[in-house]
Amino acid sequence: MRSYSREEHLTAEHLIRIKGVDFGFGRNRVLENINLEIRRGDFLAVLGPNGAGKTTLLKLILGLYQPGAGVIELFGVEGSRFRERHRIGYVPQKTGAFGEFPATVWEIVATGRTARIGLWRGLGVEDREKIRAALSALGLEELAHRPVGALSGGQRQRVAIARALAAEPEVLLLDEAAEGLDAAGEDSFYGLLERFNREQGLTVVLVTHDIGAVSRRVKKVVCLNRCIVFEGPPQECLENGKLSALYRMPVYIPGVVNRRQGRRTARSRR
Amino acid sequence: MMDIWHYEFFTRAITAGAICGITCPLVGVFLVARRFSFLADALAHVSLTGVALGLLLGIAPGVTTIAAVLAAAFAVEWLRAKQRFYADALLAVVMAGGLALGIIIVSKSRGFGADLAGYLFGSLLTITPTDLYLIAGLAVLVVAVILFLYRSLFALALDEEYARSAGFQTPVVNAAFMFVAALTVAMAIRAVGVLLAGALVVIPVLIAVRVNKSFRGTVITAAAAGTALVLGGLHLSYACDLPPGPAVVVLGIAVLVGVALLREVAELRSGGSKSHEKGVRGCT
Repeated sequence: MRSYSREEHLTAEHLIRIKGVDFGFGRNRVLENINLEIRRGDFLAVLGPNGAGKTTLLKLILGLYQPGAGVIELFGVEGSRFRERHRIGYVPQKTGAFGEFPATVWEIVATGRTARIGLWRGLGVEDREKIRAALSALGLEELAHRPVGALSGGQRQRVAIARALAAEPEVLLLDEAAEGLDAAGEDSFYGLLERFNREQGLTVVLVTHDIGAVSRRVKKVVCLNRCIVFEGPPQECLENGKLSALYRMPVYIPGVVNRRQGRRTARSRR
Repeated sequence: MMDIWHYEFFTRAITAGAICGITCPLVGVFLVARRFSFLADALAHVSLTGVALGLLLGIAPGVTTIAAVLAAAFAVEWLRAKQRFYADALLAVVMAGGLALGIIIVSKSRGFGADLAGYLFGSLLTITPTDLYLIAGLAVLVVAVILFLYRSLFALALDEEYARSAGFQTPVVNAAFMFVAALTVAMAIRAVGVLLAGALVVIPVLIAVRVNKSFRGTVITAAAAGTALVLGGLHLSYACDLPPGPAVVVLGIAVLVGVALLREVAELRSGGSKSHEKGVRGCT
């Protein structure tokens, strides 16, 4: 994975710029007037209730959907003209398909590298080294030749991250990737992402419901409910009751927001 | 038994069968992994329209078959990718449509019932040197495309949405795959016939899936199993005086059931020994 110098962090250029984006499925408007900038080194959580448009927002960035209005710029290039898709890593919510057909961890992680080198080149020595590095970063070297179907849910999620990292992305997008993990697994998962962000300068954008697990780790929170209702530090989001308003119920997190605070905010918003 | 090798027709049948036995599972692996195995059957039924058209118009049926199957394959891919039809329902419609159109053409033209029977049930033993060259040429093309696109096809089979997001050229890869799938089905029809072509594409893959842990191993085993089944089926056909296509398929199903049972027994035995180990550890 590519690391960034302190100077590069300080300049913190915009990797992703979303300007006035609307999107809908037929008449059903899913996102309205989304404006968001993601800078190099950001560690950002996108929060919101079911149907708020979180996954849709990720899929717009990934080029899987095209915006109805507005512009998405990726590394300074308009989204539909952006060709270096390997610069944006993606960890989907479901890795269930991994175990359904025989495939080893190495084979799956190698597909991430293929995304970077393209159709015309085979895997060279350097590519194999990068795959090994991605496996090692996720603690998967020992499991490299094991069938992925024999792994636990947490291990499969690490395989999905290793696949994304093998392409040496500059931004990593994760769609509720910790779902299904137990509390310890979830904590170690977010800890791993925090380490990549802190030590290697990887920009991380994660969609999650679980503000409790990420509030201590992320630098910025975006609360989404068709439009962006809050953007800022997680502490501020929790303390000013934005989250309780967003979910229309008291949200309290031990050590961050107490029960009384959460209930009061939710009541006042109804 | 070895006498049969002296017959030229049998040598051609064996060679063509072995080529189909390698090629069909190579395509089949990706079809099964994508939950799209029914495609081979659907295209095989469409080929009936191609065969009937060829016989009716006096054009070489091989040519019209390939044209019909290619047209159907690209139509399926367009409807799946752009119109977002349910894949299984779409294939059922294509299969019924191909069969219906073929029967209509046959009903309007009398006199090629015997020729059509060969296409329905396969006629490996009647393969001409020209057929053999055509099958060999198609197989080289199919294997070359599969090897070239191997890693992209694997990524797509694993997770198409991820592959699209990562910048794999999915429309190009899918179109190329549909092209080779159509050619492969056209080949398989010559070997085992319209009604059994799907089996030659799928059965060796299912056998390989039961005994492999890696994708690469599955691909190699499926190709080996396909070849062995065709050769074994042809010998069975000669020894027991059975039609060759059905003999290949029945042998394949017997091997698949045998492999599944063996694996079940092996799992039961290893499960027993594992729990025994656990119990011993628990006591100590």
